[in-house]
This record gives sequence, structure tokens and C-alpha cells, in this order.
Amino acid sequence: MLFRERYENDLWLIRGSQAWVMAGLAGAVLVALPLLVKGYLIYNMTLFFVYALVALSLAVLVGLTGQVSLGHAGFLAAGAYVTTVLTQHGLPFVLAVLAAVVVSALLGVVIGVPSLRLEGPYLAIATLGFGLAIQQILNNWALVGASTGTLVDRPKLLGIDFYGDRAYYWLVLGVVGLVTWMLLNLERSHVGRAFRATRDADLAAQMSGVGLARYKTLAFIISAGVAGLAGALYGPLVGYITPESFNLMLSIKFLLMIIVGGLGFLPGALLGAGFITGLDLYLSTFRAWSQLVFGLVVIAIMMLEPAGLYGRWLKIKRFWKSWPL
Amino acid sequence: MQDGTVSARSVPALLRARATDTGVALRVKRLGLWEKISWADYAARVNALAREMIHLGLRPGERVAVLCENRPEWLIADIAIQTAGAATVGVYTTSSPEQLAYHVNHSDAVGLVLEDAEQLEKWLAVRDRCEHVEWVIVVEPEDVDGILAWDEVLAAGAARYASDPAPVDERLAAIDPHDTALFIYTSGTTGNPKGAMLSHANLLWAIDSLHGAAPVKHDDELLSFLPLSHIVERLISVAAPLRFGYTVSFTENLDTVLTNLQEIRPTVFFAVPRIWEKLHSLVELNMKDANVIKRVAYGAAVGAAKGGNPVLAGLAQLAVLRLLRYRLGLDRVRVAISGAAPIAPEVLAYFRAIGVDVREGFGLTESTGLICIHRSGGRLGTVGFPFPGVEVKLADDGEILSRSPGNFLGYHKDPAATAEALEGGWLHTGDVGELDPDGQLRITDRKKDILITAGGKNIAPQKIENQLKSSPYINDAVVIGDRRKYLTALLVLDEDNVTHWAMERQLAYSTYTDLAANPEVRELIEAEVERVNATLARVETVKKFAILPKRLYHEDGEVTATLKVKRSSIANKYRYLIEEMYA
Repeated sequence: MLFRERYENDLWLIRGSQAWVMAGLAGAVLVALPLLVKGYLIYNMTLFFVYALVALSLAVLVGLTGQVSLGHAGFLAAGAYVTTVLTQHGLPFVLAVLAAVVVSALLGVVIGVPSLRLEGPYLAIATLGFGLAIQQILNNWALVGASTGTLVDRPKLLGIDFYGDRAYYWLVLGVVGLVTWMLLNLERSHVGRAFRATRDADLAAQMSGVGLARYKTLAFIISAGVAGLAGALYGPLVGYITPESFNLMLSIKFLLMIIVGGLGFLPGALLGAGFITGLDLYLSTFRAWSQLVFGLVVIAIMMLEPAGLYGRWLKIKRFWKSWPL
Repeated sequence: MQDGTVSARSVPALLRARATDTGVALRVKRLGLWEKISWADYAARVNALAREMIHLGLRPGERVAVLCENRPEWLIADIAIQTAGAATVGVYTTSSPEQLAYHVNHSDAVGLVLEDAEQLEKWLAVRDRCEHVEWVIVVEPEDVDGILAWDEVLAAGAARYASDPAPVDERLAAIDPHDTALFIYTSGTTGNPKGAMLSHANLLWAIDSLHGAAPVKHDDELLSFLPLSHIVERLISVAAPLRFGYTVSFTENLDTVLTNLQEIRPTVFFAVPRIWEKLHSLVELNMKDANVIKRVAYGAAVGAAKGGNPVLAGLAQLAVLRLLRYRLGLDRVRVAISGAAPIAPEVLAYFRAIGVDVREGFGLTESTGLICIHRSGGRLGTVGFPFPGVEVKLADDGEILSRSPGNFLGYHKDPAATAEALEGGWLHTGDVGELDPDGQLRITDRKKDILITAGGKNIAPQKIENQLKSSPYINDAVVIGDRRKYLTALLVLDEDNVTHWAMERQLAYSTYTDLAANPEVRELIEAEVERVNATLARVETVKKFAILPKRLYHEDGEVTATLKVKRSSIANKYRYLIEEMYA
């Protein structure tokens, strides 16, 4: 792989026949999964995909750009409610989803621009306020059912009915796959490098011509947009949304996903989302003890591997990559 | 394939026959990418340059000097010069301006091909003293009067060749196999370099003989990084590829050899002992820093490979050594050769254990580089059997004599030295050796280096020096003791490894000199010397040693361009250190 005759080969996310085989196998397993497992697992896998989208969006904001957000449930809510209200008023699903992404992204600007002067804990508090505010607004807005919430239908697209869990699984899988591919490429582009420069050395980045305001806001827009998209897919999945479902605990859980997965790595967001969703599902059988065990497991992971699951994976990979040297 | 090269009467004629080959001739790395040069392109550039050189007035039998790092332009210039009927004089790129002037004047070169600003500067410093030189071509030109730019020369030559190729074709056809093709200046550990003249016939014989001992194939890959002014690199990077059609890739510079090795993963690899030692100590030092699992796995694997159990050895190859070879870029090596200087048998044994069958070769510029070489798995401590076509015998005083079609034409302007070297039709190598009963040659030392201690013992310092040099912390060693009571040694630190060692121990030092004088470093070296002493007979042990306060440089006349220590120059320069050890 070291021998290069063309730059074009470096454009591919997946390089080398071995990587293609692995990626192909993983893809095949994910596509075939609904045919092999029971209904509730399909539902939970779909939920994992939706959460993975949010985790990815948060990874762009927190991991890549270094801006903390404790209010991502707010963007998720915005996406879910906009899609629901618009489809209830007869707008086609695709357009409603687009509108949800646009509205969330605009909210991203609304919260992002005033926050340009804020960093670290101050930014965390500001976004926390945003998340709470969204929840309060929805609680008091009769049009969207106020605190009782509203029913959401599964969509029909291009004559295909996505009512069934399997069909909906494939739809969400497709969207998540597409967004993951786009974000991974974004990370490698000049935009991704500008994000990281902003995070690691904002002064130096500014000296090199990276507009801090521009890229910090852009990160908020992209992150909020993707979270909104996740919201648009979340509503039809669960079938019934209330303001209460988008609480602070959910925002914190998203943050946990990217930290456990490995802060700063987009694939880490996917791993973290899978791990936290799976842990939640497994621990729900412990009832009262579940929160305690959840907390202990997270503490243990952070103590054993501060770089997260993906960080550990990279270390293992590096160990074997240079074997036996 | 159809092979027009067998019947070629000159080296450039080989390229003519090869021009229709569709394989890759040369590879060079630019901006991170390996660019290919086809045989047709290679041949076309040679024709263009030859045409322009003829236009500039180059006549058959004249000389053109080349001062350039390894890169395609070197090869193109070399073959173009030969095509025009002239001979190429390769000058080491580490040469000082004085040395450049010596080479140019001694060979009466009429033209000069320079690489870049660095070499051009040397030329500008001495050009007033070199009246014979009529034109200078610079590969990467600067804004200086009186030089020609490579690209422009090639473009003009291509146009001229297209309209009138006859002058080039006639010159090529007129070459006699016994015409001089190359001037190789023998680095000479004593006195001024001598210009050994090699003919086309010498070279054509040599590449076939090399092929006979170590067969190469059309799809072989070679990495070119040793100086092209040296006969062996010239054989394997220039002449032999023309004959056998394999691909030559050039390293970016000497510091990237190890990286480029991993990229190209050559199938034919020739290196001087220093490179093999470097590879060896690279692995050893990496292992010191590696985590426990890797250290244990590596130790066990090397142990198993050296041990006799075939099952364990197979397992070691599969799990560890195969990948180790891959990491080093040696996994595809079919023909691995160490030469140009003696190598410690320990290093050879190591590489054989990890599955790289390194063979040691022995030859002189005056024998077109070839005298003896190990056949596969040749006995350690010997340099193997004579190359096909070479006869070897020992003179009464033990000096190795050889006779072959590779024996050179003579030294330029030095009939006395020529007569001495070729006395009785045999080449006098100046090395002393023994022949094993089965005919493998064992070299004891340079004839003039043999020491006779005050106690009357004959001692071959080279063996002791090589053992000292096999320590990762010692780069060079000069053993002293002629007419003295006991042996002493002047040592040069291996800067990379000792620096690394010192950093690990957080030793404070500022310069190399400082490091060399550090008492803890002295202890480290003392332990290494003791380790070597334990393997030597009592009279051979090194009783005292001194660490030289500076690195050795070719420019300072302390080592030859091929980095062989000039022992007399060192002994003179550091007389005070030597006298201290005998005080």
C-alpha cells in the first residue's frame, strides 16, 4: 500500500482488497439482518441507527470542532416535530424531512452565532438552556399537542409503504449509510481540517486564514441539520412523540456515546451509539439497578481506556500493523 | 523474448536492442508518486543527448565527467556519452571542489554533467583550473553564465536527432568492444585516486558472469542508492538492466533508503555492509523499545530460526519473520548481496536466520567488480567461489591473484601502476587470503594492513575491526599495533544509536564531541570492546581504545567516498590519541 503511482487511489475511503471484503461483509450483514432476527431487535437496531446519526452530528460539533453541546435533544425534537406537523398538514414526507433539516440547521445558526464568544463550560450551559427552552416551548404549544404529544405515521415513499419494521429499518439504514459516507469525506476535506484546526489551536488557525466564526457556525449548522434529520426519522420509528422524550438525559446520553466511542473520531460515534443503545437495552432487565450499573460500566470504560472504544481499536490496529517491530 | 542483447558489441548497443521492450525501465519518485520511464523513452533521451554532445564537439575516445546523485539523468548521460564513443568519468557526489578538479584534470574530461546548485558551486570554485572542459550541462540549472540547461540540451538534441540521426548511429556502430567505456576512480585508501579504465568487453562479460552466479529476471526490481561512480552499482543499475530488462527505481536520497525499500520491495538488493548493519541495528533498537509481547515473540522467533528444530523454525517464519521481512521491505528479495567492503559474519548469520539469504561478494574495480561470491547459503567467513570465468590463485606471500575477461585495461596515465597490478597477466588484488579445500576464498586482510606486533605476531586487523563494528554503538574501528607491545583501537561512535541510548539515560551533552567524551558512553563502549575481546585470542585483544572526537568525513580525507576508513590518514591525524594509549 506504500507504493503510490497515482493520487486518485487515496480518494477512496476504503482502500485495499482486504478492506473492501470487510466492508462488503459488514454491509451484507446489516442489510440481511432484518430477515434473520425478531421484530423487537429490528426496532432496536433502527433506534440505534437514529441515535448513531445524532452521535455523528455531535461528533462533528464536539469531537471535530471542540464545541460542547448539552442540547442536542432539542435539535432532535425540532426535526421530529417539524416533520410530523408538516406531514399531518399534507406535505409529502421527503419535503417535510427537508424542511426539518432546514429548520434545525437554522436553529443551529440561532444558537451557534451568539455562542461564538463562548467556550467550554459556558457554551455547555448555553446549549443546555437551548435544549430546555425547546422542551418548554413544545410543552406549551397546542398545535403540536402540548405536553400530551402527538401520533406519528410511518411514511410512504415513491409508492413504497414503510409501515413495516423491516422496510423502515432499510430506509433508515440507507440514510445513515449515506450520511456517514458524507461526514467521513467531510472530515477529510479542507472543511474537516479547518474544524480540527479550530479545535486544536484557534489562534494558529486564524493566523493561517481559517475564519473561526465561519467554521464554528458551519459546524453548528451541519451538526444541527444532521440531528434534525435524525429527528425526522425518529418520529415515525417510535410512532408517538412527547416533549418529555427529548429531555436533558437524552442530550447527556448522546454526549456519552461519543465520549465512550472515542472523542474526535467519527467511527467512534457509531461504536459509542451501538454500545450505549445496546447497554441500555440489556440493562433494562435489571430494572431499579440499571442506572447504577450503567454508570459503573461507563466509569470503568473511561478509566481503562480514556481514548474510547475506537481509540482502543486504533491501538490494537497499530500494534499489529507494525508487527513484529 | 526476442533478445538482441546477447550479440551486442557495446553497452549502449544493449539499450538499442532493449528500446522496444514494453516493461518499465526506470522509476523515480516525485511529489510522493513513483513515475515510470519506459525503455523507449530512455533510449530516445540517450539518442538526443548523444546527438547534442556530438554537436558540441565530443569525439570518440574523449572523456566526460558526471557529478550527480543517483537519478535517471545519470544513466542517460552515461549511456549517451558511451554512445558517442567517449568514456564516462563518475565523480563521487561527496567530493570536494579540489577532488572534482583532480578527477576532471586527470581524466582530461572535455565535458561535464552536473546535478544541481550544490555541485555547480564546486565547479565554479575550480573551473579556472580546468582548461580542457569545453561545456557543462546542469540537470537543475541555475542562472549562471557558461552552462547549458539539461532540458534545453535534450530538446535541441531530440530535434537534431529527428532530422539527422546518422552521426549517433555511426558512432554507436563504430564502438569496438575493447574501447574504454568507463573511468572508475578507485577510492584508494592511500594516495591519489587512480583512474581504472574499463572496456565495453569488460562490462559485457561482467553482467553475464554476474547473471551466471546470481540469475536475474526480466521482472526483477532493483533499488538504486549506492554511488553510481562505484563499479558494482554501475553494473547492477546501468549495464545489467539493459541486458536483462529489469526495473531500476531510485531512492529520493540516502536518508530515505529504508522507506523507499518498503515501497519498492526490490527482488534484487545489493548493499554495502553499513546498510546491512543499519537494518540489523534498526530492528534491534526497535525491539528494545517494543512492548513485552513483541520482544518475546521476536526473541523466540530468531532463536527458533537459528536453532535446529524445523517445526519451530517454520512456525517462527510464519508468525514473525515473514512479516518482519515485509516491514523491512525485504520480503521479495531473491538475490541479496553484500559487497564493496567486508561484513561481519554475525550480521550475515542474522539475516540468513530471518530468511534473507545475503551473499557476500568480493571484487575490485580493476576486475570489473567481480572475483568471488557466495552461492546460495555460502559458508560464512568466506567470500564464496569465483564468479563464472574467473580464475583465482594465491601468490607465495598469500596475496590473492585473479584472472578473468573482467581484468581492466589499465590505469590512466600510470603505466607503472598498471604493470604492477597486472604483473604476469594476473590481477594483484592487494588482499591476503586462503582457499578452503572446496575452493571457497577466505580473505584475511589487506596485504599492507597486516600488523606485526612488537612480539612478532602477525595480526589481521580487519577481522577484529569488523567484530567491533558489529556492535550497534560502534560505526568504525581502526585497530593499531604495528611494532607495538599490544593492540589498541580508535573507535567512531554510531551517532544515531548512541544518541538514542544517551537520551534514554537522560545524559546531558551538547555536541558529538561532548558525547564522545562522556564517561558513561565510554563505559558503554568499554563493555562492547570487552564483549569482542572475549571472542579473540589473547594477542588479538584490544587492550586500550580511544573514541574519536569527531565524525569521519570524505571531505576531510578520513574516509573514502564509499566510507572505507583511510587508516593511514586517521593514524596520522590522531597520533596524539595513539601515543596516549601507549604512554
